[in-house]
Amino acid sequence: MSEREILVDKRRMTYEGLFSVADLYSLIDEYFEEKGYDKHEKKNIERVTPNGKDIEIEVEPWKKITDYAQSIIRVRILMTGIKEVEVEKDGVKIKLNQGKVQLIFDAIFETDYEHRWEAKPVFHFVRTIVDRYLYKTYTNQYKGEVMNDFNMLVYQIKAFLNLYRH
Amino acid sequence: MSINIPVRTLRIRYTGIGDYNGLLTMIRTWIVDQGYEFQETVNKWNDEIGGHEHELTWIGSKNWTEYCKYHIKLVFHTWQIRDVESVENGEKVQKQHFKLQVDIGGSFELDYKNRYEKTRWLRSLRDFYNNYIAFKKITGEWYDTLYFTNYKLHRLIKEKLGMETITDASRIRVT
Repeated sequence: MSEREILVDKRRMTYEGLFSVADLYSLIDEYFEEKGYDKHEKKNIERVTPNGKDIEIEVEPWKKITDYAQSIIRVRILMTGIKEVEVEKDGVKIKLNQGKVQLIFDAIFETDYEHRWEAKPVFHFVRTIVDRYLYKTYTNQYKGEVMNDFNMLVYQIKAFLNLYRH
Repeated sequence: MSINIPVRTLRIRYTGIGDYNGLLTMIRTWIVDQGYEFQETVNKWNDEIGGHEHELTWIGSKNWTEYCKYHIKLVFHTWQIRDVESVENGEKVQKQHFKLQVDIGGSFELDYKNRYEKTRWLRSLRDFYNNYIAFKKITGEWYDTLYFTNYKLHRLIKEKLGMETITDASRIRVT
């Protein structure tokens, strides 16, 4: 099996109020595309209830850093009581959504995702030694890249949601 | 035997009102329009008290090259299907209320004509070709084409159901 190191474990962000569901989704989708991640939308659940829509989305895009290491950022978006509202901004009426959104993030650094170093115990041993001692600087550099992508995403989402506060 | 490589599955779940028959027709038409050979392998319909239950499995197959064949697999499971009247643009329309789960997956088949099956030497040659010569083509080009084609269908289904998240940044990856 490939080795997965969890760099960020279930970091949460919550927001309640006005925002645009489509724009939030689009922001996340475009961000990963721009950063060279391969899209993986594991789940997209939508329930229409009398109190508004409940939406649950789980995306787990991955990016191959090298033939040996890849970065995975998992985002779970839970939205409850999403209603459509019309807001007037600078004299123009725009359609937005109102409700509660919770985002849960995980950042994962995965090595040997092609399972090339697990055929024999010796290979596995060699891989561990190389990872821990010989390639330590490279491994740390790759982990830094994963964290950069993650922090940038969180920053962009925060900035996006803050737009609606004022 | 040919080699089958599965692609990651995408799942949509929806509970609400929509045009169920229209959705199925749209998907079927899309599969045929894309040049896939259409097969319905499962079609179960149960009459239940709370509404009907429907299970469907559809497979679309297409020869991509002389060596590679694509299979798109759609597994539908729908519960509590019942007719409701909805008002659209001031007109009454017959629609359905349902709980739907669609899994969009599939696989691509290498050496589907079994040309490299005849001798042990040819089988080894095929393995060498898959693992070294065409490795990037298989994991990059062929895999991605099928995977992002599935995303096109994924987006169409979301659009038809009127879901909130219908954008797809990867739409430019497959023409």
